[in-house]
This record gives sequence, structure tokens and C-alpha cells, in this order.
Amino acid sequence: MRRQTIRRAGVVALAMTGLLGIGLPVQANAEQLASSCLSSFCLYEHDNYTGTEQEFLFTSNGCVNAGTLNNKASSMRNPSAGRIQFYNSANCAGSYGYVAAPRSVDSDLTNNGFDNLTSSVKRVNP
Amino acid sequence: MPVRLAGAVAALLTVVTACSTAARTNPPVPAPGVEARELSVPFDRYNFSTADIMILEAAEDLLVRDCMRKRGMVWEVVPPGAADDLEPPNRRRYGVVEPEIARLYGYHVAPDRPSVARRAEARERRTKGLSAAERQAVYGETDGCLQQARSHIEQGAPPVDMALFNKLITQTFEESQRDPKVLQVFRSWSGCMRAEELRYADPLAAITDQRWLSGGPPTQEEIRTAQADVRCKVKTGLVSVWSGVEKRIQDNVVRAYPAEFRALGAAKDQQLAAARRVLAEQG
Repeated sequence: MRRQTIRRAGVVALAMTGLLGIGLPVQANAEQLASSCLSSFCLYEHDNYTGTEQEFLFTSNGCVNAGTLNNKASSMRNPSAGRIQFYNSANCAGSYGYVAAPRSVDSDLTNNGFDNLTSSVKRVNP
Repeated sequence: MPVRLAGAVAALLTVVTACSTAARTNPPVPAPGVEARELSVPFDRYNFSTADIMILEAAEDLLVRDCMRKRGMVWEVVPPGAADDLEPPNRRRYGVVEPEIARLYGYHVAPDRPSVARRAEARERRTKGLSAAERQAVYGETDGCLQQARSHIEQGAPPVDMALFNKLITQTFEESQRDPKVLQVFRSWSGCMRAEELRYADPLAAITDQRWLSGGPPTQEEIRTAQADVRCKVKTGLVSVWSGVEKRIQDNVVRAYPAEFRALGAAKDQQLAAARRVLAEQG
């Protein structure tokens, strides 16, 4: 079955714009970062990058709501060079509960206590 | 049309429309207000703020420049953002707290300040201008200059349990919302809002109202609600009560995991010290 992919966006341009971060929970290798998730950031409905994939293109202020994967995301890929903060409230409100390091993957967000909790994500823009 | 392509086209149209409108009408983006800049919680000591990340990235930029130079390539160092322009780490923790932000953007996230936006644009331009060989030299998995820069900054820092820290961040924030003092101040705030004919149980319910999530600029109704929200927070002392409870809860957790938080603090300090050394030597 072909996976449904949704691109959720504020703005277009992005690529490997930043630098690698610190304290990587999972350092991704090239194979893990390849996949259908291009250069931005992706959430997946199920563990191990399966189910619906949602790709995020961030606006200048960096906050995007999770849309159809609201409270449903179970894994993520961050092939970008930026850090991504996860919020379990929409509109990037409240306390962020998880930070995806640059060029990292997480096959099961349960590991970080964030399975099925993501409502919005924000790219840190220093 | 495939879902992905349709989404991209829609996004592009949104951007073009937004940009042309922005050029005509958007007011200057105000600096983060004191109400947001003053907010802090104990866990901030163990987390990298936006200002910290800027220091790390500035140092990494210099290291990548030197590494690329040795390979016969050029790496443009991008200018830092102004410190006062950076996003305060707890700005939206309790919802919108800045009157000026509520007035201009309602519950929408404020755009980047000019120096932050310029830096982001410069980074994007730089990335787009890279040749395939330059891209490989910077981002190569095994010997990329970026990887080398990161290793330099992280060298000697103790291992940390980020998964535990992430879980504790979520758990403590949720616990704070069940605290009797916080529930009491939520009720007071809710009563204040009701006097303005606005019905929300707590500030996070207000900022996540589905009506504000549809994209596009904020409506007058959203702005009016956000302004009432900020006024009611001030009137009821909500932010000081909530952050006081969070402080107690997080302090207790730090005491419960002394080794883990010691490592987090040391890792942060050592990486920032390494970055500052690079900036002092090569900046």
C-alpha cells in the first residue's frame, strides 16, 4: 500500500541551513535520513516511520500545527540542520516536551514520552 | 494532483499572498516584551536557550569556515542575530503574556525580529549556493566539516539522558496544571474572561481555540480575546502563581535526579565554554 504523504507548510525554502546540534539522542545515518522525507522535518503516524507521513516546511517564525497528525505522531525524522521543538498544545503554546536534535531520527516517540502527543512543532531560529 | 504537490502549491500561493500583503501593511515586529523575557523555570539551567544555540552555531560556523578553507573552499560566516531580538525560551509557556503581541498578532506566533530574519535568510542563501562538492564537504556523514565542528564543541562533555529530561519536562508541566493553586487561579482567570463574555477553562484552551488555527492573519475577535486574556492574567496574577508552582515542582525533580541533572548542567556548560573559546580565538 502506498503511504499517504501530506506536506504542511508555512513557507517554502529550506534545506540544510544550520549546524549540527548537541546531545543527539539518535544520530541518524544517511540511509535513515534518506527516505521520502526530503530535507525538512517529518512526523509519522506509527512507529518506525510508517503510516501517514507529514512533512513540515517552516515559516520564518517556525511554528506549524500538526494538522491531521494532531496527537497521532509516533515517530519522526529530522534531516534538517535545525532543532525542532515539540509541543502538546497547538500554536506552540505551553512547554515544549521534546527537542529533536539536528539530523536525528526517532523511530518511537514513546522513548521520549511524546507518543501521540504532538500538536505543533517549532524550528528554533537563533 | 498528488497530495504533496497540491500542498506545496497551496503553500506557495499562501506565501506569495502573505508577502505582497506584508510589504504593504505589516507593522515593525516589536522586540520581545519584558513580560516574556522575565519568565524562567529551573529547567532552563539545563536546557539550551535560543541565545545559547546562537553561540554554539556561531562557533561551529567559524570551525566550518576554517575546515572548508583547508579543503580549498569558501564558507560564508553569517552574521549573528541581535541578542534582544531572540525568542525568550518561555515566551508562550503560559499562553500570550505580552500586551503588544496580543494587540498585533492575537494568538499567532510573532514573526522573527529583523536581525533574526536576516540571519535565517543569509543561511538559506548560503545553503542554496553550495555546489555538490561543497555540500558534501560540509555535510558529509563521515568527514564533513560540520560533523568535525560538532565533535570539537562536544569533546569532553559528559553523556546525558535527554530522553529522561524530555519526559520530565512534559510530566512537570502537566503536573503543574493539576496543582490546587494553579487550578484556583485558572478559575479566577476564567471568571475574569467570562466577564468579557469569553468562555475558557484555562489559558491554554484559549490559545488553542480551533478558530485561531486556520491560517491567515488574526481576526479582530482573536485579537480581542488575546488582549482580554493578557489583562485577566495580570488581574489574577496567573503567571506568577503558575510559574511559582512550576518552580517548586521542577526543583523537587532536580533534587530527585541529582546525577542526571549534574550531567545535563555540566554538558551544557562545557559545550558553551568550548564555543566561547572558539569565538574568542577565531572571531
